[in-house]
Amino acid sequence: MIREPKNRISEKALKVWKIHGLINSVITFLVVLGASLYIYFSNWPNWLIVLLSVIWIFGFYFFVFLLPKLRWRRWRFEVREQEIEIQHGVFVVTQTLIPMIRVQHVDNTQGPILKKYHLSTVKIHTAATVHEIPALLDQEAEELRKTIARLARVADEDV
Amino acid sequence: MKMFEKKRQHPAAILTNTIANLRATIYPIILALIIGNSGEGDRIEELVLRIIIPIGLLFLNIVQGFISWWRFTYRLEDGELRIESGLLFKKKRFIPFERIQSISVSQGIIQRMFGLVKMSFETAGGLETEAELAAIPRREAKEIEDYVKRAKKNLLIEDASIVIELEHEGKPLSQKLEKPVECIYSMNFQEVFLVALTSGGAIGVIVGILAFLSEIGDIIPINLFYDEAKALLASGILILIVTVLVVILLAYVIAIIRSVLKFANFKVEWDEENIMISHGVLEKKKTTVPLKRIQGIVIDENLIRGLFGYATVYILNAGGSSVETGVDGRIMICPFIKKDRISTVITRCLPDYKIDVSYTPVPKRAKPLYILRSIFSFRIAVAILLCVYFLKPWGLLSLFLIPLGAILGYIKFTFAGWSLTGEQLALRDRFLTKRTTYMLKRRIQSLEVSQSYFQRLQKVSTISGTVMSGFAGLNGKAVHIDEEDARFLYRWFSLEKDEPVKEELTTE
Repeated sequence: MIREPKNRISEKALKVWKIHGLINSVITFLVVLGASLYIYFSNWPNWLIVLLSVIWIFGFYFFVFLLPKLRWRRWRFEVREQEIEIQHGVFVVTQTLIPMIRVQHVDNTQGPILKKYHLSTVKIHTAATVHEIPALLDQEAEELRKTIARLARVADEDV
Repeated sequence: MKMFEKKRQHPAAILTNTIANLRATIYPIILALIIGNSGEGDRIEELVLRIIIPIGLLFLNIVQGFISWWRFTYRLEDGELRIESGLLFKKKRFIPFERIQSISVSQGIIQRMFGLVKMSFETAGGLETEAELAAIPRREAKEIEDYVKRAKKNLLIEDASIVIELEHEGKPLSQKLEKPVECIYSMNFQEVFLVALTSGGAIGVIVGILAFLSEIGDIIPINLFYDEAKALLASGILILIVTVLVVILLAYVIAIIRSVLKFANFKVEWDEENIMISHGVLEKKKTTVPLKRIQGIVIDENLIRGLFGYATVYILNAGGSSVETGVDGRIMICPFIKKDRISTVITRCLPDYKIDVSYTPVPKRAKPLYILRSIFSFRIAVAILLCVYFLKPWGLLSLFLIPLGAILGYIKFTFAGWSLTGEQLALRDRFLTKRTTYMLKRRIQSLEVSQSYFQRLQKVSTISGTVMSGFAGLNGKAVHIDEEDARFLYRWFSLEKDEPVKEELTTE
């Protein structure tokens, strides 16, 4: 596609996404467990249980190991003087250009898991859209927020 | 000037307030009347329910209407519209003129009776900062509108960036204060009628009738119909069917009449700085949109109108939340217009946009993607109907959805495309309605190029631009365009041309 943006997000993002994957896997495990018990006690064919388990195992591998890696490898961003460029997506690769003059404000947010790893998410708001750069080191995120805010102010314009 | 004093609205506002309140209390009143009418309670109970409660509620409404009129004052002061209201909970709402994005003036039945108008002020700051004067003399509304516009202009002149813009246009400022109003679009009765006939609501009714007719076969077993037609008549099924059809037809006629009343007198005027849209018979509406706030143009051709070469034109307005603009900020400026006339209208009022441009179609290799994607989108319907097949044989009809999907995919493929003309990007995409979105580079909030796995195989991409519209954004897009074209558009939008242009774009 188009030339890739320079910067990657923190490698710790992998851990965070893995934890997210694990949490989701635990929830789906409980669902699968419930369904299996129901199938067992209502005398439905047992191969349904095997099928569900196999699907769950593939899902577990995919969401905990494969997907975070693919996501991280794709995630890139670059903040230039006049614009911000973001690339993300595993199956659908999306590249986004946001001119600095369109940036209205920038937020840093942090959930409990991100906090544990000293990571923050930067959210860039325009008048019509919100763009996220997930999992940057706290310090990096803070700097990025300041940089964008400064550049956006310089490039101020009507709407 | 008396505009600066605290002022109450015209006393007719008591009436509009009362009616607005009545909407909340009408149900308890009706309930009380119905229960009172049942004749089960004794006389006193009946008296309370049928007379005291309804009259009491009505009286409270009027008192409330009076108090809110009495406590409501407005004035223009220090560059702000200042409204104070409320008896126990006092509310002050000060709106700086520069925050007022558009002013709309409308006239309901009550306002017409007294020769008054309703004035609404819209701001970009969300619903909270809206203001409304429910009943004021027309002349005063005009004065306020002029005053606010003038004041806004003075504010703007202090703003350096705007001065540059004005000088750039090379016109002296004094000339801008008094500008001629020009009518750029209006509809004759025939067109108003056609809009009503072909509107989405009307189409919905027609589909409803067809669906109903197709159900009749299930309701009446056909062979039974021949044998025992008389018995059926007696049983009233036929009467039921006729009644339902009449009701649907009536709904259609009412939808048409409502639509005619809404679009009658549709007129769009232009005065170099604003576009003013007015329409309606019983309730006249006028919306003023400053040209500066317009973020883009959308042209829609729905299935039926498109067949006859007609389209609907919208402008995208930043902020504002009047009834005119939907949630997505689209404002209709031409409900029904011959396609070849659009260009003349738009060139007159929004010369930055070029409507008649040639489009680069999507490459031929995108055709399978369109067709497969479109068939795929019917998967749920097909699955459900195939399940039905196990119960009833007509579930097999689902197989017809596959060629239908293919045809839809093909017509999507023939319509899609993009066009770049100077600063303007136009993107075409359709589902059932053909939609063309015109965006100026300086209005695009962000531009996105995306590519799925299958798109990568076919070397095509989806491009999508977002402009501000209403409180959120509106997305214009073109799907499966050549990836080189997408790259070219992406680069066009980029403000930093630091990278050397490696390959020249070749257009086939």
